[in-house]
Amino acid sequence: MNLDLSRDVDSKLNRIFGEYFGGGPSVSNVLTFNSLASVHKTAEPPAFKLSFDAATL
Amino acid sequence: MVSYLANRVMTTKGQKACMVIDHLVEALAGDPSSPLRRAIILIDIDQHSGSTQTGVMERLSIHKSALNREIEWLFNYGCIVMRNSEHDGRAKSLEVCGYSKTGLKTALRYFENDHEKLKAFLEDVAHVLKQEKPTLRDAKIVTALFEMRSAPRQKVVDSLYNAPITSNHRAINKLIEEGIVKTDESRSE
Repeated sequence: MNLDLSRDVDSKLNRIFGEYFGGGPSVSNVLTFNSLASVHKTAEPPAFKLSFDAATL
Repeated sequence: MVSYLANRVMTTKGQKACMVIDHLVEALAGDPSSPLRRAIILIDIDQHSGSTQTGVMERLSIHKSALNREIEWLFNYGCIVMRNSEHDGRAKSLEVCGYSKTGLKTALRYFENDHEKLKAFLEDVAHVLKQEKPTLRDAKIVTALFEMRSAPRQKVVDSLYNAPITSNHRAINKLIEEGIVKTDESRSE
């Protein structure tokens, strides 16, 4: 049996979460992270901090 | 710090909401049955550290007996400490401590350390849940479902906390009864 939210609740949560957390990750951030992670082979790529300062924080 | 920032950027808004709820469960002795109101009281005590119970009561407009119960719970589970108030010998000042402080601090990071925003977030979620005393478990069920869109019941249960399995199923059933969560059957009605 599959569960999902009622349309009304889903739309209200979408508004609330959007208000407090913004729109979520952008494609460019995801690509940047993946590229850096593959180059540095570490969970904490040292250059990562440079890729998301002003726009996303 | 970098991994925390990475998490913030890489996660969706639904995942962030789930993480906030998880950190609040940590802050409340790992008890997902904690009402959202209890979390709001804990946040208020942290925001106004050293404030008295009367101060919390006035700010949150909570009935004295209800607040007494919550304060007692928070004290018994080591979430807050009480000290003799400097201003009033009969009153106790309240402070968040230990793991509650840590959990709360992590949750607050998603709100730029703004206690008011975190309280408002919980109030908004409580309003959507439309229950008399919505719990952190209820909040986690809807945030997890928001993130997963549509999922088998077991997957939703798996996303919840280590608690008696009946508690998790009971909470889901209640949300279905109230029309907040839909099943294949209720959708076709």
